Amino acid sequence: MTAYTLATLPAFALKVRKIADAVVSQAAVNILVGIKTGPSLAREGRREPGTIPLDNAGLRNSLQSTLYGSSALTGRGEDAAILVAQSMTAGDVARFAWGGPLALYARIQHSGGRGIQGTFWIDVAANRWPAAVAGAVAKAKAEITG
Amino acid sequence: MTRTEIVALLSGPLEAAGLGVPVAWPNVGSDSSSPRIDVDWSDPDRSDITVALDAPMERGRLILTAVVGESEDDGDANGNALADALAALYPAGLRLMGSETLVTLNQPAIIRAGYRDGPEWRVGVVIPYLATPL
Repeated sequence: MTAYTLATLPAFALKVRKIADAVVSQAAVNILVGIKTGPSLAREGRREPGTIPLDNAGLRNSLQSTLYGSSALTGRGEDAAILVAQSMTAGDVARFAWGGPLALYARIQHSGGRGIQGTFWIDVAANRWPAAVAGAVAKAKAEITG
Repeated sequence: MTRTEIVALLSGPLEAAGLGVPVAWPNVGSDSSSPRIDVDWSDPDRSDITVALDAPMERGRLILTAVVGESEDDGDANGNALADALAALYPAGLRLMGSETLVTLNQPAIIRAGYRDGPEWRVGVVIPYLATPL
């Protein structure tokens, strides 16, 4: 283990910041990749709780991701979402939203309506946030001590 | 800590509230009248951070939806009023204790923006909870 002194405090602060940045971005990636697309409605007709219902992929592809702050980023689609998540640093605010012109029915697919039950994939992802952070912390610890 | 007890504890405040609005419980009938309250559960996440792995925690969300008929005069007031009443049943800090389970509400209920669903207006109320064994 590295022993830090007052003289090397800046190096310690930089290391702590890099660890915090890594935990934030890894946890965000963990959450996003954990949101699965459900089975095809046309083929199986099931709405699996916690998943994004799949009809013609319009809803899944409507994901709009925005990273606010000095490193502002915005993009559409799953690849853009991962890029935004990986670009996050400690203290950043990012926004991930589904719907818009590509999927006007996103609210109903998520929260229910028109006689169908919502799958609430955002709420399920929120439930997993502490576990996503714990996983990222464990990974960061392994990198430090390994 | 059982799923049965968690559901029973969280359903209690709504059952006892007597809001005078029909409640559409999961897998019970198919009430489509309005106003009504739709009850949904998000898939919870369970974890156990103890060495002995004998103290699981469950983190989940109870989702209540206030469903009201469309109203040109009241706008979203009726839906918001019912949503406020539901949120008031589950204040932050509420602790619900059963025989094996403690359910704690660590944050206030989240009232989502309403949206139109045909002739109805829906306002979601999300109640995050943490369940732990006694």
